[in-house]
Amino acid sequence: VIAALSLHVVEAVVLAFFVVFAVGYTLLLVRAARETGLEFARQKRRVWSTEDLIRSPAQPVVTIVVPAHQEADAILPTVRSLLAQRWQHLEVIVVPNGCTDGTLQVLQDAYDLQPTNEILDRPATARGRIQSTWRSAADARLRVIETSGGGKADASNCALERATGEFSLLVDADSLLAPHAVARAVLPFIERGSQVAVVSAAIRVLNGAHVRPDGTVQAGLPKSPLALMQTVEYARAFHIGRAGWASLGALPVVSGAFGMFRTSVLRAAGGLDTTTVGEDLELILRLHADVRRGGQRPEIVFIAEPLCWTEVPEDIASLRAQRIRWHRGLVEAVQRHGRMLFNTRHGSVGLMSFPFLGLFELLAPLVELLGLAALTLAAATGAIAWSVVVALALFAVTFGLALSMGAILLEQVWGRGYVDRPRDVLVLLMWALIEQLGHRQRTAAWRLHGLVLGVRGGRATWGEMHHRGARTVTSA
Amino acid sequence: VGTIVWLAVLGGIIAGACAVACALACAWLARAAQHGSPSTTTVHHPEVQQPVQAMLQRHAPAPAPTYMAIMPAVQPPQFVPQPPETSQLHHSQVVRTTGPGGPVVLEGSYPQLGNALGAWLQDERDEIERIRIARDLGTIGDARSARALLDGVRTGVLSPTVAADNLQRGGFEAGIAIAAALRDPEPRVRALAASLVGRTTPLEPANVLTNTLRPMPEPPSRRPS
Repeated sequence: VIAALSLHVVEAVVLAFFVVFAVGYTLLLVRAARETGLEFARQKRRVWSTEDLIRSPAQPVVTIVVPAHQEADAILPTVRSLLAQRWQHLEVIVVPNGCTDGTLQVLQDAYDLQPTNEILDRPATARGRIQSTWRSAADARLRVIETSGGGKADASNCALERATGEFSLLVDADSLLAPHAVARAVLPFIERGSQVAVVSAAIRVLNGAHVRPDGTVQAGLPKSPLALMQTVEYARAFHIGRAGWASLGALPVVSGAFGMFRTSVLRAAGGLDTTTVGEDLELILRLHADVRRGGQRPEIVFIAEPLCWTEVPEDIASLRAQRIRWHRGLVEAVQRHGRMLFNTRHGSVGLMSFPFLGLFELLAPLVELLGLAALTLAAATGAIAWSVVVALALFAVTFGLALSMGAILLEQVWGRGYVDRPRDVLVLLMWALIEQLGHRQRTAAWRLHGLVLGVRGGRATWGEMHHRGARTVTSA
Repeated sequence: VGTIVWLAVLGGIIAGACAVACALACAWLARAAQHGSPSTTTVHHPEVQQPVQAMLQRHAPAPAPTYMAIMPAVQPPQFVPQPPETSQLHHSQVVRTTGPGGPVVLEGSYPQLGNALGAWLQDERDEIERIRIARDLGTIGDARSARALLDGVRTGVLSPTVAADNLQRGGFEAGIAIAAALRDPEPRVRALAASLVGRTTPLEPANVLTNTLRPMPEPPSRRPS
């Protein structure tokens, strides 16, 4: 009786979870679609366009911060794409931290780096030590600061200590930007006034894209099944999750691959946290927590137009390490900012997005796997009819498919996206379906591992991704 | 059980239909992009464009076919002409002379004067000299001076009153730098930006000022706003 009762309790919890997820994501999709429509309407009525900013002699200085760890085979296309930005007042600071693969040497060879006599001091709390500082003789906008390690967050902080820009754009060392990315990201700061603290944008998967000699990227479908499934995941995450939360004024996270910050806000917040592997999520939650405590509401803007391309892992080991790290970072961030949960002082973040993140996203892998096991067990023991299991599974799969295709459609309206030819839709539809049947469950198992590691505590480390970038990216 | 099964099947059919509809819409968009359909191009609405153009004209600096800026000198009779400092100056009609009171006389035709000063401003490394050039550039309403003028106020080298006068001449273009300076860490710069934002930006001034004032506790920023 107790076993049957527990089974029913698990079923009820799983069903409740599923209903909240389904309703939540449907609402986010609707909000995201509405916001996309409004953005197109705003584009027509905009007084200052991106082109106005690009041409303006009074444009503010933007510092692009690129922390790099073992990125010798990815750094050059990234730096080339950054220096090709259509922005006059630009500063690019690359921080190779703890590199032993010749990342610095690659930059030296390509950009004729010359040593500079900068002061090497850093704050007492810094983890990495500055070993050398360089400036490019080929392009004066490029500066390089070599550090002894300390992690991605510490490398970003090191660059922020020396940034001269009013705005700082944090990007990953394996990401490429659209030529107008900086201008488009600065626009909300100018347009919406002083409340805007952070601007982020949608990110596309770089694998399979075509990189032109001028650094611009034409999106395309990857060849590898893993990358294809991540393409669907990225579209869902950015065009439903981020866009939906942003439309509610409750965006809880900005991707580390592309985030434009007001430098003064970032410095006032104390920079990135060097003790967590989810420093991007932690920083945004801290901004919500700190700034709101001080009585000022930070506006975090999300641009649904894809401005950045990033490489995703194509091997199981890298993907597994990445997902474990992400979930572990989520656990750490939720542990640190638990006070925001259902806290009315934090507005829509405390009442909507943080509970969704802290309860549902965090526990999703546990509930998903537990629910799968419980339903199978219940059906096997006759406690529940197989027809119910099959019908629920059918609904779960088709619902997931509808979300995925909705996200891909929202991605496509911003111009030529992954779907270059009509037949590409069939490929994506197929992989969106396959992603629901196996990959999702495997990812849930990895995230569960991350959840366990996060709860147990201990020091987490950043893994290394095996790049196949300009490597898998073909020149066209 | 029957109800759950029917609801789930019905939900599945609806979701599946939505997925197929989205896929078809994607395919249509891809086909349209291949054939150069105007589905995602910007459509110009005359009723929107007209006020914007009028606003642009209102905020644009007044054209000056020939311009001569004579800055106040301490001892004009003692000026000793010096050769131009940057290569750009050789190609323009600008003459810069240096006297005991510093660089004082600039003359030339617009826009050569502005271009020469703009190039000079970019090359100049000395902070005080940069502010001087920016002030001269601002006098002729060139927005290239905006950032340097704000820097001057930030460091205390330049009086906010002088900067405000010059920034205002920069009009629409300077508004970009001013809007960005609304949350500058330095209160003097914030106060200056707050006092100018309604005059130089084509944004809704009331909204911008309300947003600006909310996080600014200090009276010097609130008063000019």
